Amino acid sequence: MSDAVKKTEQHAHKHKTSSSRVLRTVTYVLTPFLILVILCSTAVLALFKPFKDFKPYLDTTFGATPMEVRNLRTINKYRDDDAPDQVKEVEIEINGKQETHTMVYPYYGDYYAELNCEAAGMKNIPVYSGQDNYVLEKGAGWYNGSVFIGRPGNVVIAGHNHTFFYNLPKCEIGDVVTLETCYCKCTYIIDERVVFHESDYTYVYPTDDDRLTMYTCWNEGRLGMSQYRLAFICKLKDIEWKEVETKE
Amino acid sequence: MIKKISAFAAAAVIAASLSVSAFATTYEDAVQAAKEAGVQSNNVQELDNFLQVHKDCFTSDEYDDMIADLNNIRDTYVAPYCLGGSKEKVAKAPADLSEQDKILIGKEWTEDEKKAIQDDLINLGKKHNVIVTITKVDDAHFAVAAEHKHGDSSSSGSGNGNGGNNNNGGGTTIKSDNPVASTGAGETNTSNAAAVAAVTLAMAGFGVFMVAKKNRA
Repeated sequence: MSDAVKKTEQHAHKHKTSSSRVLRTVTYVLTPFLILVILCSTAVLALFKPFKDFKPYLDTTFGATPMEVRNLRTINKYRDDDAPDQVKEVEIEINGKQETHTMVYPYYGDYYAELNCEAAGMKNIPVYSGQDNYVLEKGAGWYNGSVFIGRPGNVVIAGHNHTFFYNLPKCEIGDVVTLETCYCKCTYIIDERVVFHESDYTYVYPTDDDRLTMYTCWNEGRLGMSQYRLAFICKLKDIEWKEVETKE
Repeated sequence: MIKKISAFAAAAVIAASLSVSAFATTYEDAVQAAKEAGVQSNNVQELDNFLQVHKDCFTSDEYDDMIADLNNIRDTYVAPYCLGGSKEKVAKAPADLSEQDKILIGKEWTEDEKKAIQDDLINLGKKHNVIVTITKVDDAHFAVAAEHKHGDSSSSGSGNGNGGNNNNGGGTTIKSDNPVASTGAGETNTSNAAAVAAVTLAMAGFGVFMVAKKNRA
């Protein structure tokens, strides 16, 4: 064998040895890391379902709502800071008589009212305008496809079953519910309890009678997401209009 | 004689002003036009709520324009599927449709028709200085947000719709939500975690495969 061939073989051997050393090092470092990643990911996937079921209970126990959103004076991302108040005089027919009252219309995401049903342990529940996730994290949400509070028709309010409407299932027919805004206070009596599928809009559509519809997810008494909603339909008993102070 | 003339003139002025007020179009007329166009009742209520708040921002002419636009939507996209229409699905007039009928007709619309309705609503908003945003369109529903800037010449009706010279800020008064909201525990964060875990698992598996392949070589 010639020297040239020997040299080439030696060079190839050296190259092979050094590359296999690199490969071995990579394997030693990478393999445990990959195994760890696989174990962690598998654990996350395996715990996903139980965690999802358990999370509402954790939230209820430890309070998932951060302090800053519990404060009613929160920044509303749906309105500019200098947006003017929407105050209007409205003509409303009460017992066949036309009356003029002042209403303060909310912007989407604004704090709108306070809901109470003391018999069911629902005290000072903040109600915001709108029903998206951002709003429902802060309180119950008034559906803006229903009438403004105080106007004739169906007022619809929804809330999470693990936070603000946790006690809603405790409501009973005949209980008194009050809904108070800065311009009026409405008193309702619970008249009907219904369970409906989320694709059924019957109970959230406008109605000819004056009512309040409150609903939350219904999971046969358990918390968490569901395709069904538990609703309480309340008949209007009384409206008390307030004097509204308008800012100059 | 002068008394007679002045009394006649006064009567004429009163009669003229009465006839003007009798024919002035109001926001209630626009809401009624939406009802008769076959718009779903919760969306009609959203429009009603929006116009209640902003009724003074629009002139009678602008309400006429809105009504003309709604009538056009009714004639082009709803009436063909109603009684006597070329693609009749429901034997009722557009104003008499039930909520189920409206959903049925909405499902018949092609993607192009839905796009045309969206563009129409956005352009109508632009004409009247209302920022209309369509956030979701499914088989039969449109989710519409409407923002109106206060404090500028919003009632001119011929503006470019940007509302760029406002003195006061604005806000979204009405944003169309799902009529029935999701009121269970939020699952977005946990779903994201699961998706990340699944992707990581797949990548780690691929990494193990590559290392094993290299080792074998």
